[in-house]
Amino acid sequence: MRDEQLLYCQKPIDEQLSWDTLLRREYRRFCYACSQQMIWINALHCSRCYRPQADSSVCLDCVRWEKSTYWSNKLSRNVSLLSYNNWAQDFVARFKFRRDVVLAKAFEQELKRMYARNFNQHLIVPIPLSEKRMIERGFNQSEVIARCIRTNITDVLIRVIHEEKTSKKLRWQRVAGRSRPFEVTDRKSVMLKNVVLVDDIYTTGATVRKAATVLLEAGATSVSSMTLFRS
Amino acid sequence: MKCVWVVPKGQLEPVVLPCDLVQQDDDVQSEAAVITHLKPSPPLPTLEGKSLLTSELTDQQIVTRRQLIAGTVQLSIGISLKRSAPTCNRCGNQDKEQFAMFDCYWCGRNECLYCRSCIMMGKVTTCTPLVHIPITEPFPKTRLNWHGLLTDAQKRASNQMVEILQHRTDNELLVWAVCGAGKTEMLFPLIIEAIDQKKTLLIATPRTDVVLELIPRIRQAFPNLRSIALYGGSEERFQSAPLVISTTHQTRRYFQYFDVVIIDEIDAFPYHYDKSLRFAVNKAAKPSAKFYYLSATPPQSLIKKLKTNNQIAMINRRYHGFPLPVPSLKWIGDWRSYVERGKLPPKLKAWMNRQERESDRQLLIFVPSINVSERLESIIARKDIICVHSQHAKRKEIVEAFRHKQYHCLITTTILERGVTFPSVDVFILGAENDVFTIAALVQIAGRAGRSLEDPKGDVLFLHDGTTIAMKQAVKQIKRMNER
Repeated sequence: MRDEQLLYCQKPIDEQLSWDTLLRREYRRFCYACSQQMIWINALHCSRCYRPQADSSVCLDCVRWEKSTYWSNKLSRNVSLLSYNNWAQDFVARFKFRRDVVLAKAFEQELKRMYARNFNQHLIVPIPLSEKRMIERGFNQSEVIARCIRTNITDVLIRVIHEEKTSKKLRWQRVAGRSRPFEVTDRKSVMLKNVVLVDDIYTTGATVRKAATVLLEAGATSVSSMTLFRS
Repeated sequence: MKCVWVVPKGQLEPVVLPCDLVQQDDDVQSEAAVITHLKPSPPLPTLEGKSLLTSELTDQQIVTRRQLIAGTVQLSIGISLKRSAPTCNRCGNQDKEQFAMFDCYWCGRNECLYCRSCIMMGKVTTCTPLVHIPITEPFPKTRLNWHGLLTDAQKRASNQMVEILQHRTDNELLVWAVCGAGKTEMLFPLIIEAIDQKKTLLIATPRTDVVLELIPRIRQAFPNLRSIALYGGSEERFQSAPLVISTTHQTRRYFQYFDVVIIDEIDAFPYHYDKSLRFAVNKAAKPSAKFYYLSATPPQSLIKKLKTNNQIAMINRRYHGFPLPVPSLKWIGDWRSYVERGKLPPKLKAWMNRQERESDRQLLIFVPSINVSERLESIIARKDIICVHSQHAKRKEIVEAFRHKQYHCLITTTILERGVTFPSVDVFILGAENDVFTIAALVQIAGRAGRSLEDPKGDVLFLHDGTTIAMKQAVKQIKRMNER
């Protein structure tokens, strides 16, 4: 017989049996070392994009976005679970690039809770991958995360332009471009609906804003986004 | 990747081909499907080489239609299912918990399985074929030469090893040698003989540090022989050579390839425990391969198994002929509470000061956990004292710097317990009563001291908060070795 293992670091769950074990079982998905390194965004952050900071005002990044006539009022707000630190980088590397798909399950409860608290009844739309990236990776990480929240999702976006990985671009390259990589396949389904986009990481917010643009054009009432990590 | 059963034109036997290699005049026998559903027979036992994922193939390893038809390259199932119990055919994982299901775009099914046990080496799924590729090795044309000398004890063991390779029918030998017996040098005659017979060698060791230490010594001894080092992150990971020095994990990429398998530290974590690693080493070896197990503290089960047939070579003297340093046990009280309060345990401080005053040697302090090693480093806060552990980013550099005497003292977890040689050190174990310090670990750690001819002595102190059976047994075992 093998000991039960933690999902991510695959260390055995070797806690002493206590009241805590019975009452808080669901929380034991990360070992002590991991939970020490994870930074949950809960206290102070930008009220608009969840960027961790010292107060809860609107951050400079968001101010800059809203100044632009093209980009303003595209994205209502963003909500994220964790800060994108070294630990998160390793996690994403294993989840996305090593393709350990099941890891998304580690955040299932938190994602569900975050959705219910912020976006109850919103349509869930994952950020799509291009056909080429899909073949390369074999799964869409955003869709996997979205399906953790609810199995019934609205997968109406497609990516028509294959772009360089955003993680390899600089900020000005991400923000300056007004390319339109996304298209809505079924306009009826988003008409007059509140939509929440789901992605793995929010870095500058360019990707979700580009997706929001086409959704608003298709008639969505509002577009927000939620991501696992916020850098 | 979808594949299909095909009878190529002018051939009788059907083969499995990837869909994009099928030609018009082929006689297609099945629907295009993922490899698991096609059920190809397992690769022929004569097919030697590596088993790789298609994504791992390099430019020189492009799989052609001709090779597949001729059978010199074969595709086989990555994950096979027997009555819904999965097995990963690369790492041998059969633990259901270590498989996960996902919605797979490649095969379009939402119940595609993948192996989480070896995912760090690239993802094996139900729909990925493993490619078995033959490799021809650049063996040196002339017989290798080595000019070093062996002691009588080393020579005896070394002869025994060569003998097995030459004509004995046994295929296993346990080399039981005390720490510092000069195991690496003893292997050299065996390497020479094996390469002369055009046989491929694998030296598998549980620790990256040992791979890094062995490879320069072997390259120096045999400049004509191509050898590679495999460990996590090694740049030579996808190459091959007649002599491969590898961590046990990395042997998973091979398939029936090695004639001679030398397993270092047979008793060491994680080899001793991990069933999948044993599978990996067995898969990497040819069915006719000879196995050599090296250890200073072999497990009883192995001794029992090999004793009856005289398959044990014993070396109980170090190569310089001096006895092993015998550890002394020193009680230092509740050291942990001091460390937790951010203080240096006073008795440890006293012993460290005394060591610095009275001895010219460097100092190795073994501690039970990563946490303690980091704490201790920050408590002492001296530039010439540093800690190292498995999670340390600069692990390689620090050990190298310590070897070049850039630090006086190195605080380490059990990662440096075996295989590494520093010419002149004293050794402390802080918290020797901890469970991680088993008899084998303690004997190995004590064996770090007095390893060079210039300085064959060294102090070994077990600093503890209560003697354990392991500590007493370790001292007893060392004394017994010295008497023989």
